Amino acid sequence: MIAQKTLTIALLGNPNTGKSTLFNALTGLHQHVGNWPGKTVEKAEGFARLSDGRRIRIVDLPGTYALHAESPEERIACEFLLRGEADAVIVVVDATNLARNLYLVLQALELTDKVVVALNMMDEVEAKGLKMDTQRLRELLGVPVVPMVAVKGEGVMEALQTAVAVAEGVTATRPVQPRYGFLVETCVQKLLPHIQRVVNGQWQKAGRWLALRVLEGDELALAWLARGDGDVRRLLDECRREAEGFGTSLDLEIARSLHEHAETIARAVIAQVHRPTRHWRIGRWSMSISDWTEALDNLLTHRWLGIPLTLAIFGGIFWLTAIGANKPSDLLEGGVSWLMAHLRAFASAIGMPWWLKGVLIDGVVLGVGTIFAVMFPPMLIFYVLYAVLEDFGLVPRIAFNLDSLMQKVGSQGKHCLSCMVSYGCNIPGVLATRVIEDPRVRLIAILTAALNPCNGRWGNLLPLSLLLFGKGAPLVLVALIAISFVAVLFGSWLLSRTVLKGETTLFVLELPPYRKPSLRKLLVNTIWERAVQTQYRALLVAAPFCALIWLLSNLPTDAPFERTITGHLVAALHLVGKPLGLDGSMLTACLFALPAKEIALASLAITYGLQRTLDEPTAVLDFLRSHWTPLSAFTFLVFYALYLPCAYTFVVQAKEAGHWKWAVFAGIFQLAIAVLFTFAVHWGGTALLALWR
Amino acid sequence: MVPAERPEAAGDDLRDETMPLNELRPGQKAILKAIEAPTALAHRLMALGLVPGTEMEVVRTAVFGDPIEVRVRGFRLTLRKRDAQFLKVAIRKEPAS
Repeated sequence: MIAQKTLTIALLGNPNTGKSTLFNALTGLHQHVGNWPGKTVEKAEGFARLSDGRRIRIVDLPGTYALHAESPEERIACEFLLRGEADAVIVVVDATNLARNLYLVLQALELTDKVVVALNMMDEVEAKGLKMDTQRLRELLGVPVVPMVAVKGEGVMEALQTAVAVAEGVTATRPVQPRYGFLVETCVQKLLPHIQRVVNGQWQKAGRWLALRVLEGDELALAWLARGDGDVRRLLDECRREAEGFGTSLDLEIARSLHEHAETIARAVIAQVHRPTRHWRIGRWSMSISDWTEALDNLLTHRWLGIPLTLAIFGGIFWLTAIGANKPSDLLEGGVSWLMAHLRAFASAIGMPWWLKGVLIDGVVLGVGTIFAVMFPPMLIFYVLYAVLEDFGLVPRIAFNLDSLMQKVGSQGKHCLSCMVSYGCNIPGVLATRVIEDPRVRLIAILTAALNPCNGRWGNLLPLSLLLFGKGAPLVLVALIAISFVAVLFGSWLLSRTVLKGETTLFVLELPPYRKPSLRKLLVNTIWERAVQTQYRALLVAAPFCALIWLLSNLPTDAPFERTITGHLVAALHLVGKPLGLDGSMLTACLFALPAKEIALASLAITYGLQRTLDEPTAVLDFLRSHWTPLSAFTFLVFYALYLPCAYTFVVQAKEAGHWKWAVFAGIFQLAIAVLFTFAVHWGGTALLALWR
Repeated sequence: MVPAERPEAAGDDLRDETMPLNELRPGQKAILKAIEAPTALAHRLMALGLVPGTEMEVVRTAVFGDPIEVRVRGFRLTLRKRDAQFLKVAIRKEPAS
């Protein structure tokens, strides 16, 4: 058999049109998908399989509203299409928003002939009582049009097969050529010969597109052509003067003509045939989706109710997570104890050497088992609840509510969202920064994400506060929330004025209609891909730490606690902690809790010499109550809430920021902020107590 | 900078003076007359369908009046005050009764 060239199909589309959903449905790769615009910042790649078994390369380009080359995401898309790497392009279109989406379609048609239009969310179009004449749309555009409901998998394979047919020339396309009126067309004709002289063969088709970009004043297009003759710039100035003579400008005329063309097409193919059909019912109430969206938005983005409601919803999620995880965690912990008893007996029975038994069973198995038992249930519950909110479309509303606050510290509304997610788990919190288009602000959000105490930390902050402060516990917890939020604001403010100084770019946020979460996506994507995989990787990172903790705490053998390596570490760190009001055991426990914040209590039990393994700490709470003063306890809680995330978070930060150096910086930066705040709390508290007496 | 719309295309029922979009009250509708923003920003706004002659409606403002939510060409979009101030709009004259 003759080896065939693998075809490449690119996916293009506005943000939040279901492009990533289509990509996932085609490739089975799980790009993160949610009901919010702008998740695909870099382009993602995967392979799809046709019914005849052929592999097709699928490239998911960043979501963009237009094909200019002025923002990073548009540039990636433009350059990919210009290189001619794609054998065909599927432009994913939100059919409920046809006119605006056609703007990008028309621009794509100027760039390449090999286009297929995938009309997504056709079910919502029907629910709105609209009828779309796809045959007429196909005639008006000159390229195949495939109706699709990507979340349900309808039309997905048809879109791919049509694209393959177009790529192979089986289906011929005759794309419509948008016209721009006399002024712009004259200018294009003037520029074209000069541009065609500069660009080589494969860009011939793109000549007209390039001419239009030059006329718009697109700096990148000009730079691409700069190798050629200087005539282009001279002609451009000439054309601009001409436009000024008509009292207009070229970029405006181009945009206006294209929007008008798009609207004309949209008007020709859509007709309202009946009243909206699909309703959401709650009891006797029944409203169409757009009415629901309207009504819900009036509440959720209300000037005064919006923020309290947002906080209440997230408060509810955390509460459900904590309550729901209690029982499963207890059961799993019971399971771990049972397993440990049997493994220990088994190890003695076969005469396993003490060091191997220690490292493997008392170190790795016990450590990893304990972390799994306390970390996984809350993680699973939180991930699922959050995914539901995300699919539903709450996320952009939160960004809308909180943007003005974040603007003041050099960030933006979408950053707040990453903070809220981080309260559940820092890892999706870091991933949630992907919605931020501005790379500078995105980096600020990545670097400050872990200042928000996650579920694992709350799991220790809560019992410690209750134990040490009794009735004062709620006050202590509120203070901790406030301190961590101030730390995030302070950190962002500091970064945006020093390391990450820069200009604020356009902040655009779409508020899509609320949508029902998809169960299939929840099961496969959220539970399997996100919760299980994240837990698995976190445990892999944690395992060697657990072995190390055992070794440090049990060597040399049979030595009293003070003589073990951990004992020496505690003594050494005692000096470091003194100015902060922390003792060596507290700092060592924080160090031990790096693989997973959940094991802080067990670590405290080790570092106060109460036990040698990460077994469930039983005596430690009584010990701490008699050993810590309220001030030293609060100082510890502040440091523990802020200091560093779990080890796997660093891996994710490095990945998302694009370089491991940023993860190192994040660690140092965060530690510095934690030290600063702890220092202030300790000395402020000491001074207050002195005044009190 | 993008100059104002061609005079012949302007409606008769519009007020002569323009104002920044962010000064509209929620519920008020207006016609976009000019985008007085730096080029790159103006291009991104135009790609979203904000070209002179387009009707815009302010749906609501967030706490502290920023950002604002606008309805334009059948979809809803939020813009910050600092970006919205570049969009000069004219509201319709009160209908003569």
